[in-house]
Amino acid sequence: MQTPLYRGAPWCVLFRRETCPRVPLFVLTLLTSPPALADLNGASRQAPAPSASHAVESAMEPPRPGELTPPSMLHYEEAPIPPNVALTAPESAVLSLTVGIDGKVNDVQVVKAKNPHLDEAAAKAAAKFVFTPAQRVKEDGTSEPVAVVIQFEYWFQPPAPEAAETTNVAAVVNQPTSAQTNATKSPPPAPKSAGPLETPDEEEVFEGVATVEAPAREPTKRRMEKTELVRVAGTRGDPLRAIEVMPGVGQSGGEPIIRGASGYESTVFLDGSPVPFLYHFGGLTSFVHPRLVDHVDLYPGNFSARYGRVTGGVIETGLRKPSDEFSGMIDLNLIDTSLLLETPLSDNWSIAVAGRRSNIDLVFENVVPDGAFDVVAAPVYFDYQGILQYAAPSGTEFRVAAFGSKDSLKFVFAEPSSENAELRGTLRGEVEFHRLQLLHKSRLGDVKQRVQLGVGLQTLTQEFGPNIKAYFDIYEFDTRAEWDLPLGEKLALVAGLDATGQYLTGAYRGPAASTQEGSLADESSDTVVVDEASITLLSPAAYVELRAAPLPGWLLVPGVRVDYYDQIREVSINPRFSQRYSLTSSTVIKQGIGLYSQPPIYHEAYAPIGNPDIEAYHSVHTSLGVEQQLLAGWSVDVEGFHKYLFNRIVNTPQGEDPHFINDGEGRIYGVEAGSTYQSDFGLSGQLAYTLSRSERRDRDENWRLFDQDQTHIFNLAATYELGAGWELGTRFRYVSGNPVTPIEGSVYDTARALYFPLYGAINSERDPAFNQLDVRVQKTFTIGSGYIAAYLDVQNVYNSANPSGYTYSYDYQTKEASPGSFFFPNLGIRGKL
Amino acid sequence: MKRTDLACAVTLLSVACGDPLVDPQTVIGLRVLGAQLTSSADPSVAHLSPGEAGTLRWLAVAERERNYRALTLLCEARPSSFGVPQCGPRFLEQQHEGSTTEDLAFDFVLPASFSKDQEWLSFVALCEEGSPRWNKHTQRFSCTSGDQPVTAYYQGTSTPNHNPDASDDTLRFNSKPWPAFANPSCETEGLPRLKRDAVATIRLDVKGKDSEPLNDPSYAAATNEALTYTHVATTAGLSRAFSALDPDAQQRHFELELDGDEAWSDAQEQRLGTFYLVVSDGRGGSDWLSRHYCLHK
Repeated sequence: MQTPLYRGAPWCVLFRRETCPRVPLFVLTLLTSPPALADLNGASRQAPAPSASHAVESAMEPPRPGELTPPSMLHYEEAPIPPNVALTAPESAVLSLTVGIDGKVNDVQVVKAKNPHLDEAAAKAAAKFVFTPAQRVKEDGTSEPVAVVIQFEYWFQPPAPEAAETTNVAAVVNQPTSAQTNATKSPPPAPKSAGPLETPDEEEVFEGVATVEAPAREPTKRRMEKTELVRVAGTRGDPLRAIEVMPGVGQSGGEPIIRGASGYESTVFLDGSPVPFLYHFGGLTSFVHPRLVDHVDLYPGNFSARYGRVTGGVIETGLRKPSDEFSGMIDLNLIDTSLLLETPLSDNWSIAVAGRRSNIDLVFENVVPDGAFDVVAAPVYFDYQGILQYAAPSGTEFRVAAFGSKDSLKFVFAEPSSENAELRGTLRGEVEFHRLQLLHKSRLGDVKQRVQLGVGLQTLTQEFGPNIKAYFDIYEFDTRAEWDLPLGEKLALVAGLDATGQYLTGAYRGPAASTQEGSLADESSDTVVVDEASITLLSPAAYVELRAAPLPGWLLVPGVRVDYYDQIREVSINPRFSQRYSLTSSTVIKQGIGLYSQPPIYHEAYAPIGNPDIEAYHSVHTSLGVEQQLLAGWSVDVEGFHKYLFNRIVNTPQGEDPHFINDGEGRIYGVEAGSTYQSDFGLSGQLAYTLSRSERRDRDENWRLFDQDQTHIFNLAATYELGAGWELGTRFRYVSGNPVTPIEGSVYDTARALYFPLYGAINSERDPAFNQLDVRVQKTFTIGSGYIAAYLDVQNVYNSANPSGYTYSYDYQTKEASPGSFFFPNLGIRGKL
Repeated sequence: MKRTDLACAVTLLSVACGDPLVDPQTVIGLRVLGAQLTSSADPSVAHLSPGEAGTLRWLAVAERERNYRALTLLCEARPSSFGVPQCGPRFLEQQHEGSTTEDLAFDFVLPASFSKDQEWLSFVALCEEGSPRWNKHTQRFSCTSGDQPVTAYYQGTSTPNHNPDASDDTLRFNSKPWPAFANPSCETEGLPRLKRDAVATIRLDVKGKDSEPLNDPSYAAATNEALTYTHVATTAGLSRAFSALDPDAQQRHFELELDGDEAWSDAQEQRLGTFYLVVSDGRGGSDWLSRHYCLHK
């Protein structure tokens, strides 16, 4: 991934929970967003792959009486191409499907007879589709399942599918029948709404076109759609917080912890571009307006060769297209205020702009203790996004997106800290980035092409007292070109090039850097200075991936990725392989194995504070799992995984020159299970459980636990539509406490008038388990074509303390547990034109 | 995507404004407050070159007289960036028996075999019960009694430096000069007195040129030394433990408060308290002074 240059910046060694001081609630509540503030209490579902999305649904609208929610596909059936058909161009079969209240297809009719052989094959396959039933909103606001007739256009076409293009997931090759053709299941290049169809008696009519997403190239891809993302409570609809309800994702107040990997070992993409920052103020809320997000995909491991430069997991966030009608939305709550406007500009052009600003500074001075410090600039964050979209009927798309974010604060302390004389003077922090992204998708004959370019600027300034000061200006780009080529009936090839580059200028004075994981609080005793440095980082990569379908329902995906890391002058070659096999129409077995490499963080390879001879480190991912559709609306996914990490970058024993060496290893293993349920009476929910162990070994030391090893991660989330516009959501979490390193004494540094802790074995103790209940209530008032929704999110309803580390006295002789979460109600109102 | 930068700052912010678990400005039990190195050739000099002789003096205090056994080590400093510095080969090890009313000091010669840039360390460990021991493998001290020793260290370099001089600064108690008294009691004439329901103001006016120029052209380097003052008292009620005079400070003085009501934790007619002030230049230069006061009803 594109490595944020400031990541792991040395000053952050100052921030460790083990020595977290007594923290005023106001600060944590408003700014640092501990885990409790990242809670989710709404329902969300783990989307099995393949899954369906619906072109006609809107995440924005509250339910209105009579409104229909289309059926959502749970199981897709491959249609073999009849032996007597040789496809030379895309062809489709337009079908009429009657989906019953049990989600099964009760009837299939060919609407437009084209090629009778293809029609028949498509009809046979479609009869085995399974959907969640369509839902109709009743007068009292509750929903009921209804049978509907939908039009479904089953495409057989040589090129790669549109859905794969938009979701970065390639399509599977269908049953081969001819040496000259291969067919993929995909939506049509330019889906069109179909008119109302004749429906059976007593059944409602659903109008629309269902689009079917291709199966993932990865063994496990977990998706949350926009409809789910914005209903997740506790995050105020924050889509990047919502992933925490998925199996394999740990409890974290900041960067996501995916399958026992450190946050910096995973990456987040926004429409294909890596994002430099994810959250305001380290974890309060993500920088993307939640109502612009179309979906979030999580690849917890064994991800495609398309992704590189990380050894953990990948999160891909897709922005939606601007609406084809003018609309506006405003959301006002205690934390921030946001505005979203979108409108079509012509038949092919549309635009959306959004912005958000925090409200923290409006109340900040009223909640801080008198005389604690002089507030020069209270904490403020803002972000913006703009999307200009062109979509031609031919399928060509062009998008210009601009987004950015800024966080800032400044305080001046009247006196040194009561416990640390070095904490005095000015505290100032400013982080901002701006990014422009160009995306072009087109077809070159049978080849689908996607080209994108992102350019941006990051700036960061930090000052804390007389001994810590830094600034960075980072100019960066990322680019990717990907081609999807059909190679025959059973084969398709994805080939791509991507590159990231950064030019950094900056300077730094502060504590010496330690590793991102396994380092100890207050560890750095040296001040290091980097004078006005400039660093150029360039990392080009190439990848190819083959998709083969030797048998119906069996998908093999071998691939290889080659990365070059300019800073360390090293090439990594990552072979990867995954496969999925449909045992039955409701059972899929999946498996993956692959090598994943990650370059060092820039400062780890930058002399004199790092080791210019440091190498990339690696991880071998293996996984085996099964997806099972139990009943309509109820699915289960169970997967075991193992990761072996080697060549890990660790500090030299005392941080002495060369500071960093490749002398660590790690092992992560476990099993994760997820189940989603969607009833026909307005209740939906998700259950997720992960049992895992994540360990590291540094140099020749003993195995120890990973900083955020969480043995048990249990999530239960549910949403119930009460009717009359009322919706109730809740979520319960139980997560094993994070490991902590005990402090066994201290030594006084007479020059700095500061005590240094003497640590026991690293991560040899644990915090108590985390448990928390969140509740969300929303009432929606429909006004014409718009609505107003009032909502109340209550995090940590029973005010569980959830201790997280300890607060120590100045000499580390006295300690008390630090509260990890707080009761926090957030009241908000949202309106849409 | 790690965004701990501002989180760091915000948490550090909370360090500064949170209430401490234990007031560091109140001396409870045995505690080391400072160390001062003086060159035998020039007592104002706070550095030694290889082959030079010097004296290392430790300030050990307690809320009342306490006896202890001490172990001091002098050793080569191992290269280290993290945690407590590590001791390499030792070139001096001394046992002491003393009390908090006496100086804890020893003379030594920095080995001539040291290279000019080589750093050295001195550790001290104090045990009230039993004797201190050093484990070179764990790099930790222990008391033979099983108690945890009070431990401190001083890191020496050959970088030219002078000790700040606290003796020329002016300390005032409720605006009046606050002189030192030898073996005072509450009956000592001129000793500042503080009533239980009163709050005293302690003020230090800094004189002289204790803040040496640093001549460091590197990024964000200070032009001069910052002077850090650690001030503690043997009774509660002192308003804070630290003050600082940074090079850009507009004022060359600071004030503290001593709250007699907080200090009056014992049901005594009167009580003698001791105020310690240690100034450090952050580079190993240090000096200190102490004053007494009387708390009464």
